[in-house]
Amino acid sequence: MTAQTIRKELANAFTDMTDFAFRDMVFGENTVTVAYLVGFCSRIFVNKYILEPISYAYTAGNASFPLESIITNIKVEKITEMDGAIRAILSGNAFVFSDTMENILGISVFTKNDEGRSTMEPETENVIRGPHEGFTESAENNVVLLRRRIHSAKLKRRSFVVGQETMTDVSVVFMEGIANGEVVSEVCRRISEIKTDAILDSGYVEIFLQDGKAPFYPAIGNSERPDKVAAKLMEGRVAILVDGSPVVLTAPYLFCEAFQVTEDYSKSPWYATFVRFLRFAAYLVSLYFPALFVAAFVRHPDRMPDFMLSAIKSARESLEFSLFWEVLIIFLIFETVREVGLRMPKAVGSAVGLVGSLILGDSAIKAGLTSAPVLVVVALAAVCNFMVPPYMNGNMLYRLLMIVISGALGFFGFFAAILVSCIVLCGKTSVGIPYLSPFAPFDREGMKDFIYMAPIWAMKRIPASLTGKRLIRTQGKIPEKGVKTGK
Amino acid sequence: MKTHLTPFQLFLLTFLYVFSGLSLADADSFLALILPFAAVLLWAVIGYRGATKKRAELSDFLSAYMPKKETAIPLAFFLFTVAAEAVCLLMDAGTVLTLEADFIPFPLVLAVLIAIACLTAKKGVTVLGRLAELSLFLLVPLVLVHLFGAFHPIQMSGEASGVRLVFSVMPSSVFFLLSMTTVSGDEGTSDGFRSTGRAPRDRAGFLIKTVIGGAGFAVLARAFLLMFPFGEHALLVYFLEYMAYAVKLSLLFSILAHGFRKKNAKYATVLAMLMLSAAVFTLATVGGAVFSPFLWLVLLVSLNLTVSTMLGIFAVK
Repeated sequence: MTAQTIRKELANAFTDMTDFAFRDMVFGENTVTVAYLVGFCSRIFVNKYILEPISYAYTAGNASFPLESIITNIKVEKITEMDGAIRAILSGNAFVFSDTMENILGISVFTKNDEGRSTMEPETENVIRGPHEGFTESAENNVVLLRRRIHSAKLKRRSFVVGQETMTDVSVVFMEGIANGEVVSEVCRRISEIKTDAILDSGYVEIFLQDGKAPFYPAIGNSERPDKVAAKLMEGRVAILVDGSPVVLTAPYLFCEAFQVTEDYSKSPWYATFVRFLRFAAYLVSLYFPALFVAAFVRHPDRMPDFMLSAIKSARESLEFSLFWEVLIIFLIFETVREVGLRMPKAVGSAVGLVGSLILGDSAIKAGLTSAPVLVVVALAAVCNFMVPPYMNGNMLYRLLMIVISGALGFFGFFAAILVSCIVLCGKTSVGIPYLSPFAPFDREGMKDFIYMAPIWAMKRIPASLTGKRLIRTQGKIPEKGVKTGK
Repeated sequence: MKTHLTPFQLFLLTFLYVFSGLSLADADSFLALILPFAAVLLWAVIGYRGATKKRAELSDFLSAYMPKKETAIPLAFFLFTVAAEAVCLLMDAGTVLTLEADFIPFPLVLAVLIAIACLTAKKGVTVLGRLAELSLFLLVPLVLVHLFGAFHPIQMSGEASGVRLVFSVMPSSVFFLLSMTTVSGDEGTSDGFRSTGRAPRDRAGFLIKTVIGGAGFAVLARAFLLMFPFGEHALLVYFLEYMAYAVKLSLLFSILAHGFRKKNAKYATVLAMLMLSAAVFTLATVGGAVFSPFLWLVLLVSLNLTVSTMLGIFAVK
C-alpha cells in the first residue's frame, strides 16, 4: 500500500475530527508522514523522539536505516493492517509511515500524553498510620505503584482491550507461583469474553466478573490504596486495573475481607482482634437488630422484658401507626437523608445530614410521628452499618427484607430468613472460591486473620483456599534476643 | 464420585442430625440420650464395610452388603426409610416450631421448612456441609451465655418418642454421609482429606470415628442444655434447634434427590411416587399422633415427592 493510499484511508477513518492531524516531512522525493491526535499525543514526545531524529538522519545521510531504528523512542511497533494503525492513533500513539517501507504499513510510536493528577491519599480509605499514597486514573502509573512495593519478577501483568467503542486497557496483575493458576485463568477468560460497547470505570468490569447475576454482597473487592492491593497480591489474589479508574479491583473477594482494615496489621493483635469483634458485632446489629425488635414487639411481646415493653408502650401511646410501619417509615426516611447527603456537595451534604439526623428526628418525636425507642433502634442499626463499608448497600436491602419478614412471621420468619441467607452465602463463590472461606469451609490458617487476628509472625501459611496450595509465609517465630539484659 | 464433605463438615452434620432428633425427644431421661448415641455407634460400625469399598453411587455403597450386584430392592427400602423420616420430621418439627408462632398457619410453617430444605438440597451437599459449619457461630454464644448466665438444673423426665426418630433413619444418614465423603477410583484420598493436610492410613476407620464423634458431641450438647437451661424462652436454643431441623431435612431431601437421580425422568418419577406413597400409607396405617391430619400428610408427601424428584433429575450436584 502506498503512502498516499494510507493517508487517504486514515483521512476517511478520521473524518470530522478536527483534533486529527498529519505532519509531513519532505526530503527530496521521499516523504515521511506522522499521523496523530492533537492533545492526546505529547507534543514534546513527537518533536523530540520522532521529528528530530528523522530530520537528523535524513540531513546526515543516514536515511537508508529503517525508521524504527532512527526513531529514538523506547516503545515502537510495526503495523501491518489499517485497523492496527487506527487503533494505535486512538490509543494516543503517533503513526509514522512513508513510501520506503516494505512489508509493513508504518510504525506506531508510543507518545501518549499521560499527564494526570499526581498520587494523593484516597478520601475513602484514610489511615492514621500507613502510606498516604493512592492510585490515579492512569493504569500505567498504578502498575508502577505496585512494582514499587513488590520488587519481584514474579509480579506478572497481562493486558486486554475491552469495550468495542471505548477500547479501554484492562490489566490483570498477579504473583506467579502464589496466585491460584485456575483463578488467574478464570479472571482472564471472563475479561476477554466481556462484550460491551463501553468500559468507563472499573465498576463496569466488576459487574461482568461477579459470580451470579445480581448478588446482594460484592464478590469482587476494590481499593484505591497500593499497599492494600500489594498485600492482597501477596496472599494470592489477582488485581484488575482499568485505565481511567483509580479504583483497582481484586479477586477473589471473601466475606471476611470486609472486616479487615490495613491499619490492623500495624497495631497490637489484641487491639486489632477487639476492633474486629466490634466490627462483626456492628455488622450483626445493623442487619438483625431492627428486625428482632419488630419481631419481638409486634409478634412476641410476651418474650420482651417487662420494663422494656412498658417503656416502649408508654412512648408510643399517642402514635397511630403500628410499630412495624413506624420502623419501616423511619428506616426509609433515614436512607433518603443518607442518599441526599452523599449526592450533595460536601458543604451542603453535612448540613443535610445535620438537619436529617437532629432536627427531623427530634421534631418527628415532638410532633408525635414517631417514638424515641424506634428512632434509637433504627439509628443504631444505621450507625453500625457504617462500620463495615463494603456491605453497606447490601445490608440496607437485606435489613429491609428482614424487617418485613419478621413483622409478618415473627421469630419463625426471622430465623427462616437468617437460614436462607446463610444457605445463599454458603453457596456463593468469588471466582470459584467459597465466599465464606476460611470459616466454611474451615481453614485454620485463614482463621488467624478473620475475627481473631494473630500476630503477623504467627501467620505461617497463606490460606490454602486462596492459593490452592500450602505456601509458607513466615517462619512462625520472631528473631531471638541477641543481648541478654542484666539482673 | 466427586467428593463434597470435609471430615470437619461430616462431624458437624452428624452433630446437627443427631441433635435435632434429641430435641424432638423433649427432655428425655439419660437413657434417651445414650440410646441414639448407641444407635449411631452401631450403624457406624455396620457402615465400615461400605466405607472400605470403592464406589461411585449410593447404590454401589449399598451393594457392599448384598451377595449380588442387584441393588434395586435395598435401594428402594433405603429410600423408603428416608422418605418416611422426612415426612415424620416435617410434621414433628413443624409442630414444635409452631408452638413458638401460633399465629402462623401450620401449612405455612411446613411450606417454609420444605422451601429451606429444597433450596439447600438444590445447592448441593457441599453447601449443606458449610451450613453445618456455621452452626459453630451459634454454639459458641450458647456456651458463653450459659457460662455467664444463670444456672438452673432441671429434673429429667422419661419420654422417648424422639429416640425412635433417631433409630429410624440413622443408617441412611450414616451411609449417605460416608458415601459423600470418600471418593472412588485410584486417587486414594478425597478433596476433603487433602484440605486437612494428610490422609489417614485407615480412611474408613477415620470416617467412622468422625461420625461417632459428631453424635457423641450432640449428646453432650443436649445434656448441657438440659442441665443448664437459659430459661423458658431461649432464642438461641430455638434457633439452634430450628437449624438442626433444617439441616436434617435438607440432608434427607438430598438423599432422596441423590437416590432418584436417573437419566430417565419417567422412571425416576414413578419410582419416587411408589416410594413415597408406600411410606405415607405404611406410616398412616401404623399410626401415630403426628399423622392425625391425614389430608395434610398426603399434600405434604406429594410436594415432597415432586420436589425431590425434580431435584434428583435436574439439579443434584
